[in-house]
Amino acid sequence: MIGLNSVIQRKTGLADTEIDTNKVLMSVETGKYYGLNTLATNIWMRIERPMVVSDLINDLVESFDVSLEVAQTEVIAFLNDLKKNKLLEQIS
Amino acid sequence: MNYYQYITHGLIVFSEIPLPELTSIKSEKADVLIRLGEVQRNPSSEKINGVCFQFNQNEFHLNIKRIASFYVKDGNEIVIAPHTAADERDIRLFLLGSVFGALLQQRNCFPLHASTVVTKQGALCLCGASGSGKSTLAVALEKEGFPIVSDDVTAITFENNRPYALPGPRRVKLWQDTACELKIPCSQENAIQKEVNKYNILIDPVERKTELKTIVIISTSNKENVDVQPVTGFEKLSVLIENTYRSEYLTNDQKKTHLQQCGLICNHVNIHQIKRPKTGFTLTQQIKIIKKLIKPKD
Repeated sequence: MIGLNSVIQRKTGLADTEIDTNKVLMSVETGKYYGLNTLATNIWMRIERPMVVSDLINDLVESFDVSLEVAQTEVIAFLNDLKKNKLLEQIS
Repeated sequence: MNYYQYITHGLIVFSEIPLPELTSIKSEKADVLIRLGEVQRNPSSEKINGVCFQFNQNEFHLNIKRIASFYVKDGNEIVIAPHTAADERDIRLFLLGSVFGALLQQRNCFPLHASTVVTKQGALCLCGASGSGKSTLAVALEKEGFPIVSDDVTAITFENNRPYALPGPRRVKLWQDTACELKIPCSQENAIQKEVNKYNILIDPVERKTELKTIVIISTSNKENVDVQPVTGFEKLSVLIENTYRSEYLTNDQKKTHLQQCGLICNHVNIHQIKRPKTGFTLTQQIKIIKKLIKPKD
């Protein structure tokens, strides 16, 4: 499971495209498509390089009108979903 | 060896067998060679739907019982091994359908399951499940002065990230009742298969590729009237994936290119969905809606 102290990064070799500025990803392993809304696309743009989850959440709290508590719950759930769909790598 | 020479989907085809559905040309060089020969089965190949085999993204094998085995390689060669007593029309039906679909995919060309016409605003693709009436509507639109680009499968190519529809075979496949309704005569020699009530209607497809501007998805509903809705957001991507011809043949690597091409199309074209009643002849209404859709906005 990905938690606050995990280090994460996008998986390499994914297929992606943009529909009306929102990203759509596809894992070559699963062949399934995964659409990101505006906020999810914003998060995706931030995790090209390895990143500590708590740093990512702090950045998001600064950029968006969202409480730390809500950001932690929702971002961690989203990152775990990306991992489940083989789109995200948990480095540590 | 003397080959029959044709052009279709933007490709110059040299063929050992005559393909009267395609437009003849004279050329020194071919993009695709179609020959008769032996087709080997590869035991390591992956099976799709029990009849086709995808070796890898450069090799494809399709075996149709009592008709022929086909082998497609590197997007430039098709080998046909006809089964004894097979009808030539049956062979051509699969060759120009599924086999060309796989060939186009090997060439990273986007095969859209659509009949396409040209309007002043660019190419307009008509998509929809078999029996939804895309060929019928294309023929009706041709009578209204919109020339046909391709029937059933339209190859989409990309230049400077813009999608273009390429002219396909010079025939439209129509069921007998629709041909009658459109006052088009059919004769048994033009039947697409022996004892099948579907006919090849010869047309004059446009000669050049046309920039793709509009896609219309036709489906049927239980309502009494024809209804039209715009398709937006991720839904656009879903309909493109759904309407990719023989998408089950795409390898995961080909899916990467395919997804990027879907994105280019989504960001460049308007997509609308037309729902028509299941029964009854509503062509006039559909044509009216389409003319309204392609009208330039002031």
